Parts: sequence; C-alpha cells; structure tokens
Amino acid sequence: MLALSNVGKTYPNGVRALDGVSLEIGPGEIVVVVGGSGCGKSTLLRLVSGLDQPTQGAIVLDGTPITAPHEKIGIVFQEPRLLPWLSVAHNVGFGLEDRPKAERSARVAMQLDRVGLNDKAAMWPRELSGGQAQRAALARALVTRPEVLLLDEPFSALDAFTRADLQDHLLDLWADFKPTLLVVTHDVDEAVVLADRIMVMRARPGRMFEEIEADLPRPRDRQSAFFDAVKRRVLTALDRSLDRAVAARGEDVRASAGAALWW
Amino acid sequence: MSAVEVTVAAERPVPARQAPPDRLARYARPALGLLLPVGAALVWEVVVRLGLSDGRLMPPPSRIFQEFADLARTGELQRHVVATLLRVAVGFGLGTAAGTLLGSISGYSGLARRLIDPTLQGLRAIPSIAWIPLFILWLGIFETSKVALIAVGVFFPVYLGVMAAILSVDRKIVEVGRVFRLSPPAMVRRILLPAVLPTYVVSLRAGLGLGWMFVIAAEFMGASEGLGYLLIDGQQLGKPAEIVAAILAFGVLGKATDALVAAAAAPFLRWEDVVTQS
Repeated sequence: MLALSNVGKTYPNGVRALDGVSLEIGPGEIVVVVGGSGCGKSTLLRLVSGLDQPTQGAIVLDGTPITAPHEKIGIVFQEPRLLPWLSVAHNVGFGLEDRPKAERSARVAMQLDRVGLNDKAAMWPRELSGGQAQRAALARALVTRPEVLLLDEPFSALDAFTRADLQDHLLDLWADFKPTLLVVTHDVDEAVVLADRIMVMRARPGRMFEEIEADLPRPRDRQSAFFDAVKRRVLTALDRSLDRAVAARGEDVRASAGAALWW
Repeated sequence: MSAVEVTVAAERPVPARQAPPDRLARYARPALGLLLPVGAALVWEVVVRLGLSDGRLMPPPSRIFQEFADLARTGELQRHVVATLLRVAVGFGLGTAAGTLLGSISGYSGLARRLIDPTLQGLRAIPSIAWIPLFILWLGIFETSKVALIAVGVFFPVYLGVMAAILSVDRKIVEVGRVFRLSPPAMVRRILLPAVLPTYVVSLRAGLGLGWMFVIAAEFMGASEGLGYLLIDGQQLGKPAEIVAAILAFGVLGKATDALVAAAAAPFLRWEDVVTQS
C-alpha cells in the first residue's frame, strides 16, 4: 500500500508546485495522473521516487516513510536515460550489481526476452530506436521486481504507433508480477488504456481535482463506446480543471478527441 | 557509339560505375595530403642536385637523412631522444596527476572550487615560460626545473578538462544512479568516471601537446642532452641539417605519443557516438 497524506512541495524559489495531495494506492493497482502542463504531476512522481523530498505531509510505502530512493520503488523517465557506455544488457542489469553473476545474467536475459530485446543485448544504447531504448529502460526498472513502478510520461517522445504498442506491452509486463503502477501522462488515451483509476490534477498549486474510475475490462478496445465515455469524462474534468466553460464545447467530442494529445 | 547506347547511358545514372571511384578515393585521399610536402622535398632535392642552390641553409632531404643516419650510428640520436622522452614522461605524469586530483576536487565540491579555482585561473594567465628564471633559482639548472616546467604546462589543460567534464555530467544520468541508491564511491566509479572519460582523454592529449612544447623551452635553458639541445647545437655550429633532423624527430615523437594515448583510451570509448569518417 502506497499512501500519500497531505503531501505538498514548495520549491526554494517560493513556487508551490504541489499542495495537500492525499492518495492511497493498493497493491497491483494502476493509477494514472493527468493534468495540464505545470500542474505538478512530475513533481508528485519525483517525491514518490524519493529523488525530492516533500516540504509538507508524508509518503509511506508499507509503513516505511519514503525520504530517499527506495529499493521497492522503480522509475521510468520520459527519456530512456540509458548509460551510453554500457551495453543494453549491462544497462538492464544496472540495479543487480550486488547479485551473483549467474543470477544477474539469468534475470537480465529473462527480462530482455520479456521486452523483446534479447537480440539487442550486446548493442550500445545509441544503436537502439526510441521505442527500443524506452523498452530497455522499462526492463531496467522491472528487473529488480519493484513493488511500485513510477512512469513519468514514459511514451510521450514516441510516435503514435510505437506508443500504442508500448502501452499494450506495459500492461503485458505489469501482469507478470502485478506491481503498483503510478503513471503520469498528458495523453488522455494513454490514461484510459492503462488506468484502474484516473486522477485529474489542476495547477497552481498542484492539487487533486477529480477522481475517475475506469473499470473497463482488459484488454481495452480503443474504439469501444465505453472507452469513449471514460475518455469524455476525463476531458470534461480537464476542461473544468482549467476553469474553461464546458458548455461552449457542447457535444463536439470529435474535436476534443483531436485535442486529447495536446494535454 | 550508336544512338541507342547513348540513351540507355543517359537514362541510368550508373550506380555500377560508382564502386571504382570509391576504391580509388580511399587511397587517393591520404595520398593527396602527402602530395605537397613530398613534392616540395623532391623539387628541392632536384634544385640542389642541379646546382641552382647550394642548400647550405636549407639542406635537401638526402642530406637530412644522411644526418639522421650519422646521428643514429653514433648513438647520439638515441641518447637525445631518450633524454627528451624521459623529461616529457615524468613531467606529463606529474602534471597529469596534479591536474586530475585538483580538477576532480574542484569539480566535485563547490566549496573547493570557490577556494582554489580563482587562484589557479590567475596562475594560468601567466605564460608558463615566464616561470623559467624562478624555477632555475628554486630548483637549479638540472633536471628538476625542466620537469617542473613541463609539469606546469601539462597541469592546466588537464585541470580545466577534468573540472569542466565533472561539472557537465548530465544531471539526468546522475539521477539514474540515485534511483539505484549508489553509494558515493559507486556513483564515482559507475557514473562519473565513465561520463568524464571522453573529455578527460581530450584534455590529456592537449596536455601532452603542451608537454612537448615546453620540453623544448626547458632544454633551451641549458641542457647537455636532449632534442632541444640538438637544436641549439645545430644553430651554434651552423649545422642546419642537424636542426631539421631534430625538428623531424620532435614531430614523429609527438605524433607517436599522441597516437599512443588515443589508442590506449580507444577500448574504453567504443560506446561514443562519433561520426565515422567517410
């Protein structure tokens, strides 16, 4: 159980990035946070990862307060952040340095196989495509079997086709050992594809604005009416979070579907 | 040639014919660079042979090679080369060690940087040759002052390179290390060291280049052996062939030691995303 209680973050320059965020995420749950740019969603993820400390409130994982990076919490960034001087296999095994060599190579090989990169093991990161590099980053985070995996707009730098492919792939990998996923995105489609629960944030200061259950069966059909209904609820909530007049948009869902990638 | 053949040739931009020029280019391009120096040497040789010039101030290639052969036969060349190489090696070693140590310290700690960097930058503004009189007073006219001068020359590029490299390590990569909870020594070994290596090698090569420059200045200030001594000796005895031979030896040694450093670093830098030369 990952619990955030009244978490806030004020940067030294006085910017209140996050204010009074409370959230409980059960084991194996997938929570997606969406919001306009500057709403503090990336700050939230950095706090949970332990890379930054909250200035108010507390983050607790299974009774342990999180104040620094924790072995049970993994993170995938927007960029792959592979170490250019290590082969793909060594990058994936980066967090397993303290394990015996045999165990390490077995687990790396298994994880590379799961992300479909076993033929790329000996390559340098620069030789991978954007999607392959992000898959390697995913493998690096998953190989240590974290209880909580944080993903910070993980697929936003990829083309639409690769992105949809990796979203399905992520759910497939999640099913392996069902970690808790906390995903930050500005892509409403991505949120509806992945989430059990979608949290909409509003900016200045960053707060939780609305919670939307997305209890659709998996795998989810991106064309289904249910999918569209959830998506519409998220878009409406996003609009209201920006204090925009919802009525002015009326029933023009087609336009909002086009705008969905903009968030 | 018939009209039909002409049309066919015009329609196809002949990819098949591109292979031979490529193969030619591979050998022709380096050869192109040799054309000027080798051509000039040959021309000069011919000019002197024809008696158009006596070649006294600028000896022709044959006389320079003769000088080389004579110096090598008497063992003079080896003695001078060894003396110069030793000075460069010791000075380069000391300068690199000091530059690496201080560069790492001021790159790693902001306090240390504020403390020592302004002083070092001030010292750097002094042309290193200006130290010679002081070094001679302090350290005597023998090896110590010479090695010290070379070490000073090597120190600054290495110091600056190491500090700049550490300061420019990508914060995002460092965060990867933090996420995996690396201890400070592990962070240095697994993240910082590999990240600064490419810049470090560049600064080592720059330092080595300066080391070769300063060994000449050091040997000008009174030496009984070394390639710099050979230069002075050639000047005082009016032997231009000896001077040119020493200059050529400097060129060959400088290039060879630089290639050695580059080759030693190459296995660790295979990951670098460099544009392969075409």
